[in-house]
Amino acid sequence: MELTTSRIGPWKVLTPKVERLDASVAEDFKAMLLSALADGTRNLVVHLGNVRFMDSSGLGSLVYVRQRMEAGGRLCLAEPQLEVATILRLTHLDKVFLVCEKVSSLREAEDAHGVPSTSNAAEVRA
Amino acid sequence: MSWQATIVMEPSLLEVRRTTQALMGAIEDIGTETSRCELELAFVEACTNSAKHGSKGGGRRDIRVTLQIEDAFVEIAIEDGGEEFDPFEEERKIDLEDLASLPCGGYGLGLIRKICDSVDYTHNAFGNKLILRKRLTPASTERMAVRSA
Repeated sequence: MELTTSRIGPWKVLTPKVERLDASVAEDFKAMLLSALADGTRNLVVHLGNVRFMDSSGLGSLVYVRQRMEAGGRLCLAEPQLEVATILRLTHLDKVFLVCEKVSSLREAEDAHGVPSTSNAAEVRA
Repeated sequence: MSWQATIVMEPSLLEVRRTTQALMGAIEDIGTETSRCELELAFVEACTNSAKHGSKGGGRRDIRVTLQIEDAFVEIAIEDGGEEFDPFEEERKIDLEDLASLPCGGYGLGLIRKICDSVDYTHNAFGNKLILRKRLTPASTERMAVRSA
């Protein structure tokens, strides 16, 4: 799986170049995310704009990585497509992750008042 | 519209993808995008379980998927040779405020039950048979919802 890395302010942005985050790639995906945290990154964005489908294995990778981030760390899921939003909604894990509809809104939020450190998605969407 | 097909697949995750493509192709003009997305998720969860565990029970070695579509009503039977399990097992209560306690797996059966209108399960000497049923939401309903919003 290919993953590109960029930065927006304090956020490291990882963009998986894959359409499906399912059980066949979930372990690779998890390993790549953990590797991205190895430099002490505390603010991580997973940009899901390319991901058309995610199952519970992909979701489990995100939960695992979020649990292993340092206290005070933030994991934001950016641009979840319909299918990704569906699994987040059905499992209620949209209340656990920060979720933002556009990566660009992260920059705007940072410029305005900083993205809240709570895991309340609605605050970021606003 | 009435349509039926049977696909026999090897218990592999790549085969799950291939079979999912067949399902999504069959329902691409039925229901709303949201209801199709939900059904895709339920189907992948069920097939992934079969691919991972379905050849451990001494029954059939392959996975047999039967799709039946009657207008907007979809029934999917998934048969594998796995050991008996309880698809209706009560979900563990999770505390969304307690990050460390969140499970990293085990969401699949709960998702299937939430998405499907009904789920049936039988187990016999040949293995498991899980039947998922869902009526896809008519597209006209989604258009009306958008208009009224």
